[in-house]
Amino acid sequence: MTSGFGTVSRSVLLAVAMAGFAWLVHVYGCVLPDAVAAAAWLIIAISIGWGALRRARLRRAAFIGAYVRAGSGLSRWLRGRLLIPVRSALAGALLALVLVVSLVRLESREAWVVLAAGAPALVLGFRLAARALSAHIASGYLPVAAWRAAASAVGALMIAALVALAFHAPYPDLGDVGLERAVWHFVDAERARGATVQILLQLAAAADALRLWLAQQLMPAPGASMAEALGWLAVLAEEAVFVWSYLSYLCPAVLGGVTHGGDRIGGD
Amino acid sequence: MAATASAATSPYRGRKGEAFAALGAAAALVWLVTHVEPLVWSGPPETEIVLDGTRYRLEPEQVRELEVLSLEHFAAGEDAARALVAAQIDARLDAVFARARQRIPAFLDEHYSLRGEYARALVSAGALVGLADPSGLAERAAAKLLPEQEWADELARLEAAAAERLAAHRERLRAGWLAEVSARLEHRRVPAPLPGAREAPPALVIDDWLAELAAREQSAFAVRQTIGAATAIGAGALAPALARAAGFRAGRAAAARGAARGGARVGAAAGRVGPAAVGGAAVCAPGGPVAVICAVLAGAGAWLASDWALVRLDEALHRDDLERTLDAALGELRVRAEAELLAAYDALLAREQARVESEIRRTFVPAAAGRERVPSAAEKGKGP
Repeated sequence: MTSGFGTVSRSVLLAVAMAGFAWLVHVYGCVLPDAVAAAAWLIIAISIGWGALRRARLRRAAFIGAYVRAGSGLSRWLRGRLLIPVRSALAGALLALVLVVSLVRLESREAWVVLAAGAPALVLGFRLAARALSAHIASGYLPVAAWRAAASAVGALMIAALVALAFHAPYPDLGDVGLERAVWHFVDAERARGATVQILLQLAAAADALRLWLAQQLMPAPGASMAEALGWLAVLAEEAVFVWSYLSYLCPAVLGGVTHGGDRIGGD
Repeated sequence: MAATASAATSPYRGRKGEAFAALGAAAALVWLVTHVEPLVWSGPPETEIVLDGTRYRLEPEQVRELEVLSLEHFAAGEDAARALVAAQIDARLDAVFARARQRIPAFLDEHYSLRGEYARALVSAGALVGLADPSGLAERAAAKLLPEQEWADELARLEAAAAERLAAHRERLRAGWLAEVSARLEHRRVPAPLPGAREAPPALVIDDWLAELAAREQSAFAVRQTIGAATAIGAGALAPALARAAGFRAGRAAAARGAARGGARVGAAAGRVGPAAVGGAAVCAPGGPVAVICAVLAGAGAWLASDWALVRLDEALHRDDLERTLDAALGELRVRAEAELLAAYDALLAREQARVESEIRRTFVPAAAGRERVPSAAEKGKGP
C-alpha cells in the first residue's frame, strides 16, 4: 500500500471540486426548479451512497477474510450483494436530503470556510491516518480504519468550529412569543422557487424555530442547567449529522483510489 | 541520458502541477464562499396588508381583485342607500301629506262659509287700495293645509332618520366588506414581525383606512345640507297651486277682479234686496221713524241671506271640483318634494360614493404596486 504526492493532490482537487459543488447548491438552491434541485440531490445521494457502499464492502470483506474460511459457502452469503447496496442507497438518499437542505440554509460565511477547509483536511487526514495505521492494521481494513480516524478527527474539529460559530451567531428574540408564532415566522421566512425545495426548507426552519424557542423558553439565563446542556446537545447532534453527511459526501474523493480489496490506496 | 532524466522529472512536475492546482482550487473556493452571496428567491412582489390586527400578504393580482371587490361592494352599497333613503322619504311624505289631505274638508268648510267669503272679499278690497297683500290669501289658505312649522319639523325628522339609517347602512356595508375581505384573505395570513425585528411597515393598514372612512362618512352625513333645498318646498310651494285651484289671484289686478266680483255680488244683492227693503219699509211704515232702522236691518238680513245662498250655491256647484283640485295640488307638491329630496340625497350619496371610490383607488393602487419583501438576515439561523 502506497500513497503518492500526485494522487493526494488529485484527491484534494476532487474533494475541493465536490465542496465547490456543495457551495453551488448553497448559492443556487433557492432559485433552482424542483427538477434541477432533485438532480443535485441525486448527485449528492449517489456520492454518499457510493462512499457508504465502498466502506461497507471493505468492512464486510475484512470480516469475511478474518472470520470465514476461504472455501466456505458462507462467504458468498455474507458478501451482502443486495443488503449493502440497498442500505447504502437509503443512507445516501437520507443524508443527501439532510445535506442539501442544510447547505441551502447555511448562511454563515465562516461556516462555509469551515466546510471548504474540511474537504482538503479530510483527504490529508485520511492519508496521514493511513500512513500511521498501515503498520498496525490489516491492509484489507486499513482504508476503513483510516477513514474512521480521519473523519472522526476532521469531523470533531468541524463540529467544534460550527458549534462555536452557532454559539456566537445572532438569533431573533423568541422569549415573548408563542411557539406557534415562532414556528410560523421561521417557516414564512423561507422562500424557494421549487415548491418541494420550499417545503423542505420550511420543515427545517420549523425544526430550527422549535429548538430555538425551546432554548429561549427553557433556558432563559445562561448557566450550567440540565436544560441548557440538553439544548446544546441538540445543537451538537444537529451539527454532527450535518458534518457527517458532508464528510460522507466527500468520501468518494478520499476512497476513490482504493481498490476493491483494499490492497492499495491511491492506485499508483 | 537526457531522456531518462526527463522521464524521471516529468511525473514530479505533473504531481507538482496537480498540487498547485489543488491549492489554487482550494483558495478559489475559500474566496468564493467568503465573497459571493447566495441567490435569494423572492417570488412576485407582494404587499402586506393589516386587517383587524392580522397581517396578510398579497400578490399584485390579488390586491387588484381586492380593489375591484371594494369598488363594487361600495357601489352596490350606494344603490342600497338610495333605496333606503327613498323609502324613508316616501314614508315621511306619505305621513305629512295624509295629514294635509285630512285637513281638506275643514278647509273647504271654511272656504264655503260667509266668514271665509267676507275674509277673501276684505283682503281683495284691501289689495285694491294697497292695504293688504293679495298673495297672502293663498299662502294663508295653503298654510292651513300644510303648516310651515309642521313641514319643517317633518323634514328635520326625515333628515335625522335618514342620517341614522344611512349611518347604520354604512356600518353594515363596512362590516359586510370586512367579512368578505377577511374571508378572501384567510389563506394569505402571515405572522406578525417578531419583537425587535426590523421590518418595513405594511403597505396598507385596512383598520386605519376603515376608521378614516367611517369618520369621514359620519361628518359627511352629519352636515345638515339635504334639508336646505327641501325646506323651500312646502306651504309656499302649495300656495300657487291653491290660488289656481280656488280662484285666489296674486297681484293688484287680481285683487281688483276679486273686489269687482265682490262689488257685483253687492250690486246683485242690492238689486235683490231692493224689493225686500221696500217691503220692509212697508212693514215698518206703521212704526214711523223706526221704519228706517227696520228697513236697514231687513236689507242687511236680505244681503246676508243672499250671500249665504250664493255661497251654498257655489259650494254645491264647485266644492267637489275644488276638493279634487286641492288633492291633485297636494299630489303634485308631494311628487315635487319627493323629487327635490331624492335629488338632494342623490347628490349627497354621489359625493360620498365618489369620495369612497377615490379613497379606494388612492389606497389600493399604491398597494398594488407592492414591494418586495426581503427577510432580514437575523431572522434566519441555526443553533439555539
